[in-house]
Amino acid sequence: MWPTALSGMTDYASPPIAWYSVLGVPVAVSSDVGGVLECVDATYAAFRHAPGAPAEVFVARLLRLDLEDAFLVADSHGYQRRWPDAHAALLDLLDRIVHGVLARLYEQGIYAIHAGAVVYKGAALIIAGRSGEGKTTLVLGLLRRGLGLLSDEFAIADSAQQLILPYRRSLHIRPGTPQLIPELAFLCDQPPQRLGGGIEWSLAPDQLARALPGGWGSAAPTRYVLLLDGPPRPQADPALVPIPAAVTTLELLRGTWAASVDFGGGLARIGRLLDGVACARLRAGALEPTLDVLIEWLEMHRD
Amino acid sequence: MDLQPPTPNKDVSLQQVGQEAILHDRRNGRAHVINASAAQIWELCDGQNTLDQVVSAFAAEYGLPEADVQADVQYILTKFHDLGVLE
Repeated sequence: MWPTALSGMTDYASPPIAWYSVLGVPVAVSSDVGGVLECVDATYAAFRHAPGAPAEVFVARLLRLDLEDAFLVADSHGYQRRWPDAHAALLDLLDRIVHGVLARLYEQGIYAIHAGAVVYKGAALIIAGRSGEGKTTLVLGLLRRGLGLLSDEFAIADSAQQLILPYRRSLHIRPGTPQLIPELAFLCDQPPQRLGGGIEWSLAPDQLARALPGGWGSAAPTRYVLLLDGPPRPQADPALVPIPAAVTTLELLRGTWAASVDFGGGLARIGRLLDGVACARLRAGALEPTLDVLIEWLEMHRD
Repeated sequence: MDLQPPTPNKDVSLQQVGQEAILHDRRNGRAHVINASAAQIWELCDGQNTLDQVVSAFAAEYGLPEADVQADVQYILTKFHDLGVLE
């Protein structure tokens, strides 16, 4: 097991601690509730790091409050919240880890856009859409076509270098997806977990690299942005409609944590990121015809 | 016709993105996508240029007679007033 106890961390029972370095942000997660650290590790295994306590480490913890029959989630940014059940507390803990990392990245000028990102012939495609609109399935379908994965959950934009960076977090795969992506059928033999999107499997980065030809991609400049227009409609033809980069900028900003802190600054950075980028809205149909339309569009807008 | 030079509100900024631009009003958080022509007119509104000077400069940009663009410029400026982005 990964968790390592470390003396010096407060709390009466020194609960186990798991250490990570997520895109250079040191993170320590501790919990005295069974199964929590395993769940966190299922998502962040690729970011495991040697134990240590640098001054800038972001700490998140989930503790049982026996006297109150409740669970406490807290972090080193001053957040604290009590939950009546362990599962709700776990989802909050996962959320706090995300927030903590995004806040640190923001301080470094790195923006996280709630979107998937893949690499097509050396250029990054950002795919944005609400939860449940088929973003992950579309991303996995593109990997089957040989594109490289940068990220499933957040497109990490380094605004100084104008690059989308790889974010090798485990993917959360929902029921129904292995039927569309046969290479992932092995997941059905793994125990699923109850995560933010419901019952899901965690697909570790090394499993992904073995299963799909595209595997993981390298940092790439943004060349394309796709906004998903609702969930897929398998009975209808896919439709891809060009839209102005300015409109796309505003829609992407909505999915950016940093915009809630500094909208004007986010507007400037995302606006610069999308200058000269091909943008379109996609109404997805059945997966394979949608991928055909999408690949054709990518090829049409290559430099 | 209003003879005061059209003046952008100091809390409104312009961000160019591709062929369009975004006006961001920090007072209310609103963001407005405008086309390239409107963005050019916005940039000509510096608090110094009169309306006639804005029309003249805009017409010169497109190589058109001033009479051909005057109505369009006034229309855009009216829209800016409606959005509350001018003083």
